[in-house]
Amino acid sequence: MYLSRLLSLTLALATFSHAVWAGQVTLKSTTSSVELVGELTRFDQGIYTIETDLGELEVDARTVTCDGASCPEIESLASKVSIYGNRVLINKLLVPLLENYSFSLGADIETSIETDDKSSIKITTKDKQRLADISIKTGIRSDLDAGILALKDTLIIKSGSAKTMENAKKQASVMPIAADALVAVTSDTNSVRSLSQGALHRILSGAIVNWKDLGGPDANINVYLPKETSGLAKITKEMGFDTSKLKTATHFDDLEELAKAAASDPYGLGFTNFSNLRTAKALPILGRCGAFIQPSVFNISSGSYPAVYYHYLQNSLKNPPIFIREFLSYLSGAPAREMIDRRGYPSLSVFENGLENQGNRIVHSLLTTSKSVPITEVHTMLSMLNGARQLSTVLRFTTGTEALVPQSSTALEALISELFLGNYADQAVMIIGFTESKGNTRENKRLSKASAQLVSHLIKGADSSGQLANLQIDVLGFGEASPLACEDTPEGAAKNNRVEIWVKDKP
Amino acid sequence: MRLNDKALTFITGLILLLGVGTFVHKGDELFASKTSTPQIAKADTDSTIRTDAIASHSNKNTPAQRPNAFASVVVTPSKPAPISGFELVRSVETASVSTAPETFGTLKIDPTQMDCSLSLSAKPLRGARIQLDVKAPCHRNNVITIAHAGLRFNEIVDDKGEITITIPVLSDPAKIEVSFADGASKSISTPVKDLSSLQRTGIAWSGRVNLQLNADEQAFNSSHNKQITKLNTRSYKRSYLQGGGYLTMLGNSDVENGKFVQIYSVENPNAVFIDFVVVLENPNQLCGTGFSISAVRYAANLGTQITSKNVSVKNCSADNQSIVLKNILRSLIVAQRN
Repeated sequence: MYLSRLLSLTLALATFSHAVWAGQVTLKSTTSSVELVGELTRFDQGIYTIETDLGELEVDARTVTCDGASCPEIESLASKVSIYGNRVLINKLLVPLLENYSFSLGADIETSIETDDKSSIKITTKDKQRLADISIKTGIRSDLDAGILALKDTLIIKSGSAKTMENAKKQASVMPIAADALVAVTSDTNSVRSLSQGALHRILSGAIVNWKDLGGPDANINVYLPKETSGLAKITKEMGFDTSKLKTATHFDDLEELAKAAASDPYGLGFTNFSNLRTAKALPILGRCGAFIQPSVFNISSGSYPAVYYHYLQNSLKNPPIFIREFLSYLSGAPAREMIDRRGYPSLSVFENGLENQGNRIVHSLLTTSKSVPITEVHTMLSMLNGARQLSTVLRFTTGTEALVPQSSTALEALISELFLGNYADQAVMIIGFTESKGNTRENKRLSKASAQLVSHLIKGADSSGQLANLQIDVLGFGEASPLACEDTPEGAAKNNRVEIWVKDKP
Repeated sequence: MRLNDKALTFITGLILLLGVGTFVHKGDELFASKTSTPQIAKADTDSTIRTDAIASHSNKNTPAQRPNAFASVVVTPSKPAPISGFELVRSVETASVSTAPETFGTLKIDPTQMDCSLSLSAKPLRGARIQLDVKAPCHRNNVITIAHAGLRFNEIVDDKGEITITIPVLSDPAKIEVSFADGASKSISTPVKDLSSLQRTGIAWSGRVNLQLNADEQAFNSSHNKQITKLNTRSYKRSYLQGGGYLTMLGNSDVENGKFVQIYSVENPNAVFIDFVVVLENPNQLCGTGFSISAVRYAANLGTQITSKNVSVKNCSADNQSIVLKNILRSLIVAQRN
C-alpha cells in the first residue's frame, strides 16, 4: 500500500506561501528500495514537496524516511482537522463515512464524546501510527460559516439548494456528497395519496385545517414542522414554503422524532426531509401544471423531484491535510456512495429506472404535445426509450455556460467510473438532451442536442486511455418534448433543461 | 415379571441401605475411594458435607468466594501445576449433616493424579451462535474470561469448574479463547452457520458501569413497533419463528470490574428501522469522570467493525436515575421507502 502511495506521486504546481526548505534530501520508501533525491522546497501537512529531474513531486511523509540536513523535524504526522456542521449530518452521515474510510485503511477509530455537540476522533493504524486527530463541533449556525471557513484545516458539512451550493462555490471548494428533498409525510394509514403545491401553501398558512378538504376524513390536520431556527426550515423557506406562519403546528428539533410523530398519527402531516423519512409515507407533490413526481431515491438523486437539495462539504483549504485529501478522494468512490445510500441518503450514484416505471413522464409528454411539440416527435422519443433504462445521472449546466453545476459534476464522475468498470460495455448508451418550453421549438431541439454533445465530449475527454472506444454512444436531443416540472417558476423551468443518460440492450 | 420386580426391589433396597449409609456416615470413605481423581467440594457453611470439604480456589478478589466460607480450608492454589502437593484439610471427626468440624488435620494428595486440563468444546448452533462448553476442574468457581472477535466478557464457572454458554459470534470460523486469572487459557475455532444472513449490533465495556442496550424495532405500521430490552430480550427461537431481533447479554455482574458484552442480532426483521439506545443507569456514580465503551457492528458486507468511544459524564443531578447516551450506536436501516 505504501509503495503504491509512493508511486502515485502527483505532479504539483507549487504556489504556496508556507515555509520554504532548501537543500538536497533523499526520501526512502519505508517498505521498498525506492529512493527519490531532490531539492526539498516545502514540507506541509505531512507532504514533502521536492524538486527532482522529473519535475516537482509531492510525497506522503508517512511512506518515506527523509535523509539530509534539510529534513524537517517531525513530531507527528497526524492530520489535525476540525469539522463543523449540523449535528444530524455529522452523526448520521459524516462520522459513519470517516469510520468506514478508517476501516478500509485497517485503522482503528476512537471517539471521545465530551458533550452532545462536542467530540473528537482519533484514527490510528494497527501499528499505532496516528493518522488523524479530528475535533467535531456541531450545531454551528450558517451565519458563522464565513468565520469558520477562515479557520485553518477546517471542513464544514452543510445543506442547501442547488442555487445555494453554487453560491457557496464562489467562497470555497464545494463537494456534494448526497442529495435530499423536502417531503410532506403522513402515516401509512392516511388515505390521502398526494398533495398539490397549492394545498401545501394553504395548509402552511392555516387556510386548510381539515383532511376532508384534501379528500381525506373529517378530522383536523395535526401539522408537524421542523423548528423555525433549523437548517431545514431555512431550506423550506428558500423553496417557497413558509413554515413560520402556522402557529398551531408542533415543532421539532429532531427530524427523526418529527417523522416518528407523523408516522404514528393517522391525522398527522409532517414536513421533513427524505433522509429522515423513516417509516412515514412521503406524498408526491403535484405541480400546478399537473406534473406528478414521486419522492423516490431515483427522482431525488437525479434532481427530478421538485424540492431537491444537497448535503455538501466545503473547505477553503488549497492544501488540506493528507488524511482529508485522501478522505475526500474516498468520498468520490463506490464504497462511500454505498455507505451514503445505506445511511438513508440518496447518494449521487448511478441508479436505474426503466421507462415502464415512468408513466407520469409519458402522460406529461403527451399532454405537452397539444402545445407546440409535434406528436411525431413524442412518438420518435418513446420509440427510442422503449425497453431502455434511465440512469439517475441527469446533468445540468450553469445557466448560459458550458460548466456543469456541482452536483452534476459529481454525478458525471460516478457515471464515468461505472463506464470504466465496463458495467454498460454491452449496452447502447443514449445521451439525450431536453430543454424548457420557452423559445422556438426547433431551436430548443438543436440546443438540447448540443447539450448532449457536450456531455459526450466530457465523457470522451475523461477517456484518455481509449478504454471506452468500443462503447456505443448515441447523442440525441428532443428539445421540450418531455418536461419534468411545471415552468411556472424559474426553478421549474431550469429543471427541464437537462441531459439524461439512458441505456438499452443492443439489438 | 414378578421375579424381576422382586429382584429390582431387593437391589434398590440394597443400594439405599449401603449407599445412603455410606454417604451419611462414611462420607470420608466415599471420597477416599476416589483418591485417583480427588473430588474438591466447596467449603461452605451451607454445605451438608463437612468431610473433605475443600475450597476450589483461593482468589479472595473473586465474588465467588462466600463471606462465610471457612478461611482456613481455602488452600488450593489457583495454578496447580507448579505446586508439589495439595495440602488438603479434613475433619478429624466423621462428618455429619448437623455437626460442623471443630479441629482440622492435613492430608497430602499426589497432584499428578489430578487431571487439571482445561477443555473446550464448541457446537455451532443455528443463527450464527456457538454453544461453548468449558471444563476447568482446577478452576472451580473461578472467574473466566471469554474472548471472541476482539470482545471479552467474564463469567464464573460452577463448582465443578464448568460452564456452558451460548455466544452469538461475529466471524466464520469463530475463534473463541477462554482464560483464567492464573494464566491458564485455551482457544477453539469452529465453523459457523448462517452468519452472512444476519446483522448484529452491540456494545462492550468493562468495570462498574451499568449500561443497557435497548433496541426499538420500528415498522411501517407503528402498531407493530417493538422494544427489545433486558426485560424483553426475546429468545433466538422466538425471533426465528416470529421475526424481529433478540438481545444476548453476556457477562456476570458478580464479577468485580468485569467485562460485559450485549449484542442484538436480527435475521428476519419485521421492522424496517432499528434504533439503538444505550442507557447508563446510576450515572451519578460516574459524575465528573467517564468510561469507555466499544460499539460493535456486524454485517456480511462490512464484516465486524468495532469502534471505541470514551464518554464523559457531565450534567449530573441527584434525580438522575439513568441517562440516554447519544451517538454510541447508529440505527440499523433494514429497508426504506422508495
